[in-house]
Amino acid sequence: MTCRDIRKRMAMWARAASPGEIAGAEREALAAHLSACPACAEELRLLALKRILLRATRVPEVDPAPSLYARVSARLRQERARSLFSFWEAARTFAASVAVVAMLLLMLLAGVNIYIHQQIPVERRDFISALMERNFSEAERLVFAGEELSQEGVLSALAAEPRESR
Amino acid sequence: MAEKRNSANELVPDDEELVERSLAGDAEAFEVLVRRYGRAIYNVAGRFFRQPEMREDITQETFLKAYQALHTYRRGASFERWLMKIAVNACYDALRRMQRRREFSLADLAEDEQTWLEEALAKPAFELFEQQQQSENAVALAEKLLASLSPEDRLVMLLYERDGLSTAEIGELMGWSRSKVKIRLFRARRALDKRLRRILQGAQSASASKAKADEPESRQER
Repeated sequence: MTCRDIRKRMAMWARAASPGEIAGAEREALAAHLSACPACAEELRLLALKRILLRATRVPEVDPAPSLYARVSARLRQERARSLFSFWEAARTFAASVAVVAMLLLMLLAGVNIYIHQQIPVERRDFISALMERNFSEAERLVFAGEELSQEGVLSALAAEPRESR
Repeated sequence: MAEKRNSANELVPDDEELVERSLAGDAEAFEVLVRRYGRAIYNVAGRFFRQPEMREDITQETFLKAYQALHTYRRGASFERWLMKIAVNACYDALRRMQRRREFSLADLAEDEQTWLEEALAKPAFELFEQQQQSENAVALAEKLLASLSPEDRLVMLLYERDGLSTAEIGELMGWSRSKVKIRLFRARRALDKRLRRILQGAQSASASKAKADEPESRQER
């Protein structure tokens, strides 16, 4: 057997789940090789140490303490409560954000409204409200008092009004 | 749905039925699964951690994760294997969380551990190889040695070298490809062997200097 073969075999023995006995003829062949090859002998020492140390970390299979099941159950109950709570929490967050968005939208609309109103000169605003209130004499007065409104435009608008509403 | 009978000849629901019932909101059904696999999961944690508290935490975490991911369990697959994967990954996460990698140094060994090591290495390799009895000093030494490895190296060394799992099995448990497992295994071996060689060399030079100091006596013995 070459060193390569020997090392392959040794690695297998070291890993085997069974007790690491190296049997009969193989053992003799290995011993013969090792006595002539210090490098492989050193390799076996390394494997032996690795094997013994790794095996030392094994713990026998045991039953867990009965209290473990109660602990797991309690944790699962907590988890179920948490996921239920998080559902309502999510629903509440959603409702709250909808309300905030609606309020912001309302404020924006009100702002736009105020802005537009402020852009209209006072006399024109009064004229518009006089028209809306069907107070045509007041509207007429404002038309002739104001400078910015064109007489023709307003008069044609008045003429378009149905007669009975005057 | 298939049902088995237990030792008392009572009908017991199988895993799949219990999963279905849990998904439908039956809390009791999942508790049955916890009791069925609690011991197995506790002992999976024992492959990586000695302390009972740690193993209990891992068990608890495994069942919690399984409960949260229950909808991802594929019908027809083994529920036990599905649970094992979650458990081994929980162990791996725990190894990564507690990672305090330290260089392994012989100087960090306690006197008893040092003595155990010297005695062990004084034996012929064959004898050491076939040694069956365990010692607390070997455990402590092994823990120190493993603590100096990365979590990946530690995981593959324990599963492959100690527990005899195949690369395919480790790949399936961890969700790693075969080639990834092989690369990790190669690196892990190299890392562990490097430390072991250092131990062997350290022990050799220690025994050489001891021999030198005891020279007159050792000559007499021969």
